[in-house]
Amino acid sequence: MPQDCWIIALPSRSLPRRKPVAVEVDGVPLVLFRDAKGRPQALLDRCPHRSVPLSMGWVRGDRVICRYHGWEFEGDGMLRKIPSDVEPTVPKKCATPYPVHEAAGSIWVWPGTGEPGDLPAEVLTAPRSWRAAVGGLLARFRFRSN
Amino acid sequence: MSFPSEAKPLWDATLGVPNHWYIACPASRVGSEPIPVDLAGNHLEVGRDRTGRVIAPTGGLTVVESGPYVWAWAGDRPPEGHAPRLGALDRPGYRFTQRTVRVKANYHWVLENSLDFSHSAFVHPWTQPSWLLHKLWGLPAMTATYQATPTGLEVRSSLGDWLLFWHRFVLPDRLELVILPTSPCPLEVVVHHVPETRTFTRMEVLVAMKAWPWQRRDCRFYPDSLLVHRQDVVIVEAQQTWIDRFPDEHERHCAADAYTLLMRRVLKAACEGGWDPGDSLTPRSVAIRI
Repeated sequence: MPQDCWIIALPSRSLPRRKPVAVEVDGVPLVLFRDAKGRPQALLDRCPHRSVPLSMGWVRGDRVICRYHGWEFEGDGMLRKIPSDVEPTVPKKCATPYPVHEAAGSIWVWPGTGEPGDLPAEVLTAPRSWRAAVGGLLARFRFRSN
Repeated sequence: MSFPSEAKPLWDATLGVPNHWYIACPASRVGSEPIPVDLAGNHLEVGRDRTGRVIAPTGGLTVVESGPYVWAWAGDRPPEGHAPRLGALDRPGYRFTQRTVRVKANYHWVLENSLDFSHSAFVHPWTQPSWLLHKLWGLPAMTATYQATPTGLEVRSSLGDWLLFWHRFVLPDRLELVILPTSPCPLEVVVHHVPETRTFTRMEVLVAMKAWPWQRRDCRFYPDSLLVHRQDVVIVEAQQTWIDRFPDEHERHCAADAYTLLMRRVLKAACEGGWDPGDSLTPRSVAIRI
């Protein structure tokens, strides 16, 4: 049973734009991807059509696209396009979304079924990564020396 | 016409439809030294006796040679009729190539993948024209007319009045695809999806293509696999892994799944005692983009 807590899925730098990444968080297989604005999104790594991992596909705009039949999903689990359909696809929620948050240089996921709580304050205020931390120190040093 | 938007697969993983002829191996692979063959959960060895006749010294299945294949009867009843004779081999002026492709997946999923042509634009970069069409102009809207037959089902896909593909599923495991069937030199692909075990399928692929005047009109076995087959293997094996992991999850369907769902009905009925098309013989049409 997945825990009701925030868990680090992977470092921020390991989640590129336009490429879905498969991770397993507390026994839950997830596909992580970034939407058009760079925000991380998390879905259960299974296409509801033919059960192919969505992480085998690719990302275009806000959507992750299944490699098997090109079904397109947004981060909220909404199915936006079925390419083989002649009629426009009626949006329908059929993929399983998971709460996700990017903070302190990491992608955090809530794999449980309970209502997600807030990330701890120290996480939200922590530097994004060691590079960001070093960069911040240097900036502060430069600021002081000026 | 309406389609079920959500349904569970109709069957459990099976070892194929009982009491049918299945391909044991390409005939050219069999010599005096027996070769091992897995078929519908049976393990047998196939070889030739001193007269060149095909025999199965172990395994207990009846084997015969017909055309470019060795066939074995799998079932609890004695063999019925003759081993199938493939109509594709009767095309005059054609040459034939054989390949064997193994897939770590149940044969239902491999068979569905072969029948379903709406995946070509996504699974087959550089190996299927529909992938390039999709990249350049988008997927064209076509009409797929499908109907059950006493031995399975068939699907005719047309672009306007132009018949592009003709798929035919023949129980227990054969899929015949004719590309541009009304052209002077149609390409025909016959694929048998032999269930070796519950988790392994052996695809026996026979391609019939028009021979150039300088080419030999023979049937050759090639031990390599083509990229187009490897692309299918990757996707179906991933699908099988995930089906095993999420056995209770439902599927969502779309219009292009209509004939795949009909094939599930055919297979389920055949596994449970016999396929009777009943009123399904009436052709139905569905507009899809492929």
